[in-house]
Amino acid sequence: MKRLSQEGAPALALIWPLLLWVVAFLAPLVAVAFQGALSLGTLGGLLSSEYYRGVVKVTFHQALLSTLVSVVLGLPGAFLLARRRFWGQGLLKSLSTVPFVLPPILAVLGFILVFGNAGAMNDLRVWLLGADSPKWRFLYSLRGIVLAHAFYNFPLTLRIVGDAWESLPLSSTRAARSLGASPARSFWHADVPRLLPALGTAATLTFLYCFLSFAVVLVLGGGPNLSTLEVEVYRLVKYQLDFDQGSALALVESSVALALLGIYALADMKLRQRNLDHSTTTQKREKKALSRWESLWALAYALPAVLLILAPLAAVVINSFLGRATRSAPLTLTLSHWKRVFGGGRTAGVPAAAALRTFALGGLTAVTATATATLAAWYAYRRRGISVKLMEWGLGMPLGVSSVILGFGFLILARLVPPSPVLRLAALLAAHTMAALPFSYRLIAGAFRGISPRVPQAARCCGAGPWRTLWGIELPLVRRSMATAGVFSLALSAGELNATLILAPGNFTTMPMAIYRMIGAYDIFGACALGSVLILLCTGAFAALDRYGQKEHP
Amino acid sequence: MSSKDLIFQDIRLQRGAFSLHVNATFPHGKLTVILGPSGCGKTTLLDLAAGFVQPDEGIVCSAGLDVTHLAPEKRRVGVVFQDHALFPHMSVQDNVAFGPRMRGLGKQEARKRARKYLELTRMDALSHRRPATLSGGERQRVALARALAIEPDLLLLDEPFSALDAALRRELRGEVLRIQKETGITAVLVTHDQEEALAMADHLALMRGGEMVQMGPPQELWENPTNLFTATFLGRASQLQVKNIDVQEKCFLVETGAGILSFNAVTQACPNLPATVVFRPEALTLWENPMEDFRRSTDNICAPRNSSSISPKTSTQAPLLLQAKVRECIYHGGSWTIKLGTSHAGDEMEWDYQGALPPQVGCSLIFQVRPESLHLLPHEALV
Repeated sequence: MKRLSQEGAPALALIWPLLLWVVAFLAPLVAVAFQGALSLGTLGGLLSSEYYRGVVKVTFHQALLSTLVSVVLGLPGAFLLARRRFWGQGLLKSLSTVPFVLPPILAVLGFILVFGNAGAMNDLRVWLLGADSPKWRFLYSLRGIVLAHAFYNFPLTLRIVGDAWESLPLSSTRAARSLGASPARSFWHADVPRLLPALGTAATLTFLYCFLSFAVVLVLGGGPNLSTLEVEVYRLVKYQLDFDQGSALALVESSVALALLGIYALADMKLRQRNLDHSTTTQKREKKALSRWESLWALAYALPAVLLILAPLAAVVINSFLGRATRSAPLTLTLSHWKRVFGGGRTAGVPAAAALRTFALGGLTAVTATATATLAAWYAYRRRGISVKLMEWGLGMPLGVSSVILGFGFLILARLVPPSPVLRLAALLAAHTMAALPFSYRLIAGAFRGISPRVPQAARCCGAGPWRTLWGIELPLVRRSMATAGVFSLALSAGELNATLILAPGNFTTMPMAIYRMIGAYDIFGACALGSVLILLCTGAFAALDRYGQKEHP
Repeated sequence: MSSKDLIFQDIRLQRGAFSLHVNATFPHGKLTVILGPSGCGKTTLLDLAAGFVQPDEGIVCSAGLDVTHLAPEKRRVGVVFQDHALFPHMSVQDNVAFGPRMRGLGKQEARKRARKYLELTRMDALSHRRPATLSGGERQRVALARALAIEPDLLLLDEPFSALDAALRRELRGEVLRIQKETGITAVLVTHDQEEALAMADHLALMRGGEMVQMGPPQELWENPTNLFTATFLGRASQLQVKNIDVQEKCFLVETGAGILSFNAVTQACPNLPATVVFRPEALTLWENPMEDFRRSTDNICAPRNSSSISPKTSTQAPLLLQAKVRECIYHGGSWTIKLGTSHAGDEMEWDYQGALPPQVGCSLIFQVRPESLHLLPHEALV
């Protein structure tokens, strides 16, 4: 049987995503794998070295610990958002998206300002306990890494599990209760199995992000004792130019991450198949108001959570307006850092140009990732079967490969052609696009799935061909998701540091790079001024998205 | 058969475990209703007519043209979907004008066409609204206007009333019938609602398991089912399993758990066993006036007890007698459905009783049945 959905147009639409995936993802990955295979002997040497065995151990240790802390911190929030009704619930939900889009280097900067040895928490210590009390050392240790990772990832559990909890049908708990189950047993038998896939997704994503984390470990790790595979690959490639050892380590890291991603995908598929629900009920459970006792613990949870999210951001913005005349002078209000960033002075013009480059690269990434994801999502919407599954696996794979490794792969490939800054920039755009593609695809494919298959069929009956139907009917229906994907891609690219540090040509500095260098030069206030611009850029993009959404659905 | 009929010629298609094999002709200018249980292939047949699905084998002809391999946009087919499938980002008017625009009309002309069909469906007053602001019935009217605005050769309606409440469904049924008669368009409507099918169809096509079971005017399918599925799926039917058939010169005698029935050998072919006698509840009439008698005792019998003593009438026009026990009485507000059975496990009969007090469960009743309302159907006719 030949179906309408199996016409040629969707297959043609897949050509570009496939081509981009091969060039921008598969080719550099194969280059790293090939280089790694050539230096398998090196791998043996690396793994027999006590230092690298320690690096592997720390990588797993910090990722597991961070995942555990993030999930434990996220679950009460998920419960509060999904099952309870309280003032400020919407605000808490909105705030929980902030870490998703916050560039890691900004989070790092904010953490230094709040939890650093000379940060706000230690100011509080001096105020409470006196200047002679011992310093609170949060950062430059495993504790610092885990704290920063938890800040980044607890909203993941909060949102993913919270959304799943909110969408549980009313009928399942009623059925369990009517059959004699207590509320606890009803939760255990009727709800927990349905929440497990969401919990698995949140935990796996958190583990992957922490396993592949770069900026947090690089800056807050505090040195070689707490280095991870990702940071070691970067050091070997960027500073020691040891491609053999770098590729061997990259191979180990990518194999572990991709294997984990594969196991997760299989387990998730099985769990979801087991939970398939063909009941037509759509009635959801009503949220209860907080009881007095619950209000207390909700406050005890929400207040630190909100502070944890907001304090680093607020610290960046506030510090951009502060300064000291000398190292020991008191803090005063000043606009000198802003003037320095955008006016004359020592680093005149460099950060302003960095902002422009970041905008341009982010804009190009947004367009490329959104267009690619849209074409792929259209293919998935129109086709069924193994080709769609394979495509979705392929598009999900960049989640399991860090952009340091992609950047490294491009460096290996770049040795095959004459040196060219344009090629390096193209590789940088490709690496940013690959980082954004899995998210963009999920967003847009979800929107396509929301369109009744009868809608394009109706357009076809009216006389519109497949491309006209895509342009006139289907794209307008997913344009909000396309805009969201575009803004996410822009924010992701604007904050991307890993591949940029490896691939950017000598004179090409982006905002995260400039911030990273300023932190390295202890120019914290200047970094804050530039960081505030980055915050403004991301906030502005999301505010525009919000206004667009209101215009679309008033 | 007109050259403009919608013809499915030896259509075959396989979708996983489901297979469809259809030979059917739907008359030009008439409303054909495809009726059948869920999963029988009704909507797939509609998809084939619209071009959403192409068959593995066979030919689809519409308005005298072979359209089997034509893309939907190249056919002149209007479709009204179960979920309306309106374009949510367009106004009602733009939804209806979309088809004429796609078919080459200018903007003004397309809008004029849209207004014409919105007037026909009585939706012209809401032409500037978005679909999301309309009620279910209004959305369905817009969907109908959009399908008609391309002035198609064929109008397909896929369970268009299933999402509507009963009153709105009745109202829209009348509207669709009016518009179909006014425009004279060939229309095919898919439904699993028998009442809807019988009320609307000029031509009824009954499907089961991917095959066409019986086609014709609804009255013919109702009164002369050619197979057990048609007889039992369309309305309520009583069934008596045949125990034995005795073929005589001009007739054959059929022994059932409720008595022996005579069939005219000239008008009715004698089937092989296993076979079933089928008739409608309205075919039964209580033989005498035994209500007072059967209330005296549950064992009371208002006619001779021994069924073999029932002498079959040799004339097929003479009334035949059936004996059955009351199994269940279901009240419908002013009337009762009396469920009857015999000693034979597969026998099920229904009788509509108008009265305040129903017969007691367990008592035996004798009915007379009109010979012309009996259908003797072989089991192999079951599709």
